[in-house]
Amino acid sequence: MLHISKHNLLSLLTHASSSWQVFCPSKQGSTVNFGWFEGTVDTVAIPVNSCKGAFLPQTEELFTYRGTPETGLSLTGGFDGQKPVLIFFARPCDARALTLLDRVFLEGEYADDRYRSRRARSVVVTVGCKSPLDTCFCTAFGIGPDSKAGSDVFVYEDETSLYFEPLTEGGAGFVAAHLAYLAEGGTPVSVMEELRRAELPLAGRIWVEGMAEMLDSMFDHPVWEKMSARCRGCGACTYLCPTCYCFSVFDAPRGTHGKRYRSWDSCQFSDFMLMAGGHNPRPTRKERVRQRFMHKFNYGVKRQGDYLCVGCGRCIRACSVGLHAASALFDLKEAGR
Amino acid sequence: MNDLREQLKEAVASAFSQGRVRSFVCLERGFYPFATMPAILHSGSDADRVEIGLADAPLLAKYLLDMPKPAGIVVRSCDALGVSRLIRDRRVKREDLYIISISCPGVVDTAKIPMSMHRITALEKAGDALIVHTALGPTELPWSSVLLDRCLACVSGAASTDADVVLDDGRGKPPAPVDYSEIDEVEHMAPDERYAMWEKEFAKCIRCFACRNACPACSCRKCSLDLPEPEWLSRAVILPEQFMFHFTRAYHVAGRCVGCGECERACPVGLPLMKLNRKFTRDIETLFGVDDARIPRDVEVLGTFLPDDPEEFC
Amino acid sequence: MSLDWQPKIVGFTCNWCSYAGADLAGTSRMSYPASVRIIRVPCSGRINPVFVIRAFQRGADGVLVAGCHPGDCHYSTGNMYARRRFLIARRFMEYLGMDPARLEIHWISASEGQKFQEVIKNMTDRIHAMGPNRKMREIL
Repeated sequence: MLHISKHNLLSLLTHASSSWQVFCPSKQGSTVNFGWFEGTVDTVAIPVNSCKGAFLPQTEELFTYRGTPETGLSLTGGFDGQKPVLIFFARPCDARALTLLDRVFLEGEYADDRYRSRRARSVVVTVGCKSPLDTCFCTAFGIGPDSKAGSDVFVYEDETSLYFEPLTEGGAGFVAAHLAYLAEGGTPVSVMEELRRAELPLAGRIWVEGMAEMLDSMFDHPVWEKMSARCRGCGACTYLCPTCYCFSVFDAPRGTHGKRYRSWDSCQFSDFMLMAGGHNPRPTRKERVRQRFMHKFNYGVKRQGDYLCVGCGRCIRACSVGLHAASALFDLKEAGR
Repeated sequence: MNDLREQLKEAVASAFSQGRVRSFVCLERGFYPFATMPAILHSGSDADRVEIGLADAPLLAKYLLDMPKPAGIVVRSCDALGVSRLIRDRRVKREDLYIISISCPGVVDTAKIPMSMHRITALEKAGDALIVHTALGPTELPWSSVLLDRCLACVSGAASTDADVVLDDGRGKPPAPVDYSEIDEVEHMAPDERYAMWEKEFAKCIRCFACRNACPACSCRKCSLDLPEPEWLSRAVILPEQFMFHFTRAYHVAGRCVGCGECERACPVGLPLMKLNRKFTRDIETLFGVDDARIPRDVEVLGTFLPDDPEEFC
Repeated sequence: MSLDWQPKIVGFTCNWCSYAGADLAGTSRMSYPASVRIIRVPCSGRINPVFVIRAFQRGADGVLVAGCHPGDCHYSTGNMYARRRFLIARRFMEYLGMDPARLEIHWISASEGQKFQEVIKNMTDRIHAMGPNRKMREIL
């Protein structure tokens, strides 16, 4: 298998960034975050945010308009082909989450142009998770430290080197373009074995079997009241979640010109469902918390055919009051008994 | 510690049995057995769930807003300041509250426990050490090295006296000396360097509003930043809007920030929000001769003036 | 920066003193740079420092906050509150990396048309020398 010494990783990425937009984790102050490559990379920590921002940026300008009905209107700033995206060091959960976002943005009657264009030529390089965190529970969703779904290249990491296993045509292309940095030889058998055996501490506590069907009859269950009582109503869980995809489109008018933006939005915000006439179908935190988990564990299964959660544990780390997918699955299971 | 917990459980149960409260906010065991989370109790029979909160204990004051009154609350001194804030802001009435104050030796920040020690099964305080139990056996860490940042600036670990029940086991953390050196550091930077630093910090902000929603001084029913019209803040996460947001948030709590640091604890991306809040606190102390601006007063510092306030404008 | 660049200054002036002072400067035919755009507010106590940030965001190179002299407020004490607020808000802007010279606070009475003229002239000169503001500014 082709491999690279960890010391040379930065030069590979620097080279890669001439033909790719590299999205990778790096240390930002006190945390490690996914972001566009700026000369540093952190391959150890699992970033606080997900890599969805590479394909669905938190805020993007759709166009700038100028003029009045009298003078005529001109639009500028459409989306043009940029360098293809390279996700460097997704985790198996991240890669799998991208396949779930694909179902939302690429399948069905309407495909999202920008998402499609960014995603089409992208390469996802995933590293096997050798040391899952206390917050990891991907195995509940059929993912594991060595899962390859959604990845184009899979990387095995030992003490000194990274071994590249191309899985798709795109992945093979990426590896071929960087042969100068890679040496031939060796199969990281022990790492592969280690990944297969890696245990997730939460595995025994989380259960999703039949969850979707169970929730069918739990819309009015008092458990939502109980769970949402401690919710602070911020959007940290949704913004950091790799499978949350809600956005809103809005204008920033400035006299005779302005911009139209698209930004992430969160179902946890009080004004998310607020109608122009003042009616709010989800007036309290109970409805909003219920919406979040019903979407993940019930509506998602019906609409996209799968749970919209990959067990990455980001909401566990993000929530300051311990209201997250793992605690929800646990509480719902207890309540539905 | 256990004694304190037993006393607390009893106090909560009797608050219900004496008809003093209809609801009670406290901490209970979280999803992770070593951490705690907020619980709102509606009956004395739930009092067994009450925990002191050794690690990752959220502050509770703000839950009072939505609870059926009279409402009970367990507070440590930092949380007591938050409750006092809500009372001074006329968001809750003192007579509608039943306050149990407890002494606090500091709260552990599990994020400060080295990663090598993950798979924590239990945490235990033993004297000046935290014992971290993992599958590999116990490890001792110095107590002061694992405390939440807010504990490092603690007003006092002794139980607050403005309470209906005071439970103090005498093991409260001594008050921390006031230290503004991190503010000085920022002030000593060149303006452009300072701007670049904040630009970098704010670029991380995902505007999830965790800071605002956790803050006991941010208690408006409808936040101006959520209003579609007039649109003071759009959903766009671009730098000018980030400055707008962070200026507005910090200025809005200027003179009212109790220094509890819950905003910083709630921030999922680790912004140094207290560096913003404490700049105001320090300036208010030096400019207006206020002694410890964290302590809520009946008259707000910015809701009053002195004829001989410093005159810098002409 | 082009040679004929002129700074944009947003002036928040109170209705009773500073706006009247500006009016006096105008009716007395005192000339001052056209760089200032005046927004009349009831009292300097009405000026939320967030207005200042919004002005910088939307393209101001300088902001003037003007009210009655302390002690002369039409509402008796509005400007005293404003003074406290801007003492801390200006320091905070500086802390965020803004040049505090871009925000000036002056007490200008209804009879001080000449003072208004001088304030605008001096401020325009200073900001002209500093160049356009790029901090906190939206690009649109």
